Amino acid sequence: MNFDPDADLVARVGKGDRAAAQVLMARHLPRMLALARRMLPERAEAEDIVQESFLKLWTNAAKWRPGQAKFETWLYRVTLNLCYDRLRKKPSIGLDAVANMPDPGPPPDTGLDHAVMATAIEEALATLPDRQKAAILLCHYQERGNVEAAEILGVSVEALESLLSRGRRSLRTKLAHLKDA
Amino acid sequence: MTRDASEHEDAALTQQALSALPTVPVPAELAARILADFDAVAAGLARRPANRWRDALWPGVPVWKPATVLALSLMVGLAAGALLPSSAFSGDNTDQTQVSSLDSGSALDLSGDL
Repeated sequence: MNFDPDADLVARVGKGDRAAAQVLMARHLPRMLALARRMLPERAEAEDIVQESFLKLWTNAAKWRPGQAKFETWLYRVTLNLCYDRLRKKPSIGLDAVANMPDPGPPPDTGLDHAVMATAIEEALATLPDRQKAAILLCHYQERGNVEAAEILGVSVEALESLLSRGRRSLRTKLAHLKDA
Repeated sequence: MTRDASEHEDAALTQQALSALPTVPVPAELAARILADFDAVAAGLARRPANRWRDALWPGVPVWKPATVLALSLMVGLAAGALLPSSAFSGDNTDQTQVSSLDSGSALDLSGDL
């Protein structure tokens, strides 16, 4: 069995150890929030999802049994599932994103600064199907290995590679105007 | 371009694009909300009767440990009560009766001499 660096902390959290909770939060909160923020169109929603994920952790920590699954895999799967639920309830893109929908034509003549490019990438990501987007974010944004990403998504490595392949192709097409510019 | 080369280029472009995304800052207010949730859950755990009982008996262990020890003690007591032969107790009573009889007998003899 692989060593789980969080197992001891989770056991302590289950007994009400606040210091352990703070360490777990510091370790995972930034990456969880980044993942949720890229999955969902609005910042407030992403924050709600991360808070809800941690609440699930606090309430289930006492029942956690090491060795069943890596804790981090469980935590990120919970976060992603909450993101999927939120996207299902509100399938349309949020107002924030609509206001900044990409212009189908070429980018402005003023040139591509970093912020414009980041916005274009975010918008291209937002148009991907949820699971392709999650696969891309786990492997390219969070730089996880294929096996770990597949476990988080609950699919086989082959299925993950298929999601990645289609997602990358779509992104490339949608970002072609950036490359031309 | 071969399919592999094309996929490799897609992967490189995706990696490059996502590396350009800015980091997402963690608002201090969000961290405070999450810790407040923890405090509420921990306070709820401490209020449970089973946990109060556990803390009084054997602090810092899961509830099932003291519960198991008590259950085992009860089972040993019940097993002893059910399985030990009852003659072990009745034998003592017999001896006591015999001693009493002897005492009574000698008292009668003495009154006879008078």
